[in-house]
Amino acid sequence: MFEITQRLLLAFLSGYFLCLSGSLSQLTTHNPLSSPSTLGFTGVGVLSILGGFFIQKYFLINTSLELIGTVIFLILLLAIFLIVKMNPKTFKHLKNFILLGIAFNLFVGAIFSIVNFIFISRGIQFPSSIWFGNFRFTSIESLVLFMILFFLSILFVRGQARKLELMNLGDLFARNLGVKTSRVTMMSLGVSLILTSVVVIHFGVFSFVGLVLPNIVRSMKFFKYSIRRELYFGPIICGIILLGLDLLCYQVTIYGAEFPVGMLSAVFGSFALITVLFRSGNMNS
Amino acid sequence: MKLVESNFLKINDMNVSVDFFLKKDCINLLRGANGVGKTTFIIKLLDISKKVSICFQHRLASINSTRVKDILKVLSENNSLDKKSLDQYLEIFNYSQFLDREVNELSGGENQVLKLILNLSSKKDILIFDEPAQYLDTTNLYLFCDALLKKYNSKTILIVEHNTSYLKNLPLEEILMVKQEGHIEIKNV
Repeated sequence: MFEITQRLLLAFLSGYFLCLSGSLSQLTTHNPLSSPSTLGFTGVGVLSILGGFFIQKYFLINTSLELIGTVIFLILLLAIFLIVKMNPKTFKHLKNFILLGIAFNLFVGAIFSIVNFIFISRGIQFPSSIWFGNFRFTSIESLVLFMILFFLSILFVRGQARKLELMNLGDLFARNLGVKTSRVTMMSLGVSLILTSVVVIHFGVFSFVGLVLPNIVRSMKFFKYSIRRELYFGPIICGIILLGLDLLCYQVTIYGAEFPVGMLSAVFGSFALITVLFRSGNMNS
Repeated sequence: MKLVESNFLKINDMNVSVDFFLKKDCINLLRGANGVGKTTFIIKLLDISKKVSICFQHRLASINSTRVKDILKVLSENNSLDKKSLDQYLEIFNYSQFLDREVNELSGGENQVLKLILNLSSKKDILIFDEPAQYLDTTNLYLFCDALLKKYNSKTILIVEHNTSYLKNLPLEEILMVKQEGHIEIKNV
């Protein structure tokens, strides 16, 4: 009973984190089709877990993959911080940021394929299932970390919601009202990067969740007029959705095997995105 | 009054010599050729002075379905607007009819009027308008000029504009922004 509760709680928190990451990246880039994946954040998580796996196998270390992945992620985080600090002109324009993110994702995909090939050619098992996240293996350590991040993210939203609400009307509009937009953007994207990477490192990739769920939430009557509501309550709805999908995967097995919730979220997410786009098209016509 | 304390500014790697002052009892008009950097200069002012409120050329747009009344609510909570002025300008521009409209669905002119109303209602001392006449029909242009005429005694106003024909009946103080030999100069005419 404790295990299933722990699993569902982590599914809820992962949905919460991914949705918040999506909302933050869409708000700061002022682009509803922006997401942690297009900005390269998912790639950072995948690279961390890939590096962790490589180190674990190469040095025959017994430490958990999540822990090594987290250490590598912290090193990558520091490297990203230094690169951004040293190249302020490149990152001044969000368009460059998005292009770099897409390029980085392609780079990670290529690295993943190469490492995958090398491992398979040497007969070593490779975690290719990382591309379809699931909550089959959870731990109390993960739960503690996720709970800490959950409370920190609430504090962040509490502190920045008003500024983000003004930034929703344009960068210059918010600057005119005294918001230090570059700072809020960097902080929001930083939070988005951390939350997304932590989910990827612990449970793998959940495609479309960060992109689609904020758009679904934004199309609901209760959320559509208020960014503050979207930031406070939207992630809760998304957490419940991912929890529901995970419960479905847990209950319904196919030939005795559990369907990865990441696969289901990819199907559900892409279908939902098309529906939302059609609905908004109908409303605008 | 001096808007910029320093005589030199660095904007986008360009040296800008700043030698102008704003008059209070008239409308200050900043002119300059296309591409000289007028908008870049006023954006820079946001980092320099906390007294300025700027109506930019950019359209107000949101990624969600924010309505005009939601913007007014957010700005009221932010304590940015003078409530009395806001109500007055909403009435003058007959804008109350648009309160329930989504900002993304406003036409260019309706969006421009909203930006003008917000800037005119700002609590700040210096009001800057970057090409305020764009998208405005003759009625709204007339109402805006009338609002300026009533406003310039209480606030310092700076308008960045090429086409000044609609301002001809207002008391103007011209400021020129010129680019010469690799640097930019801003001075009173």
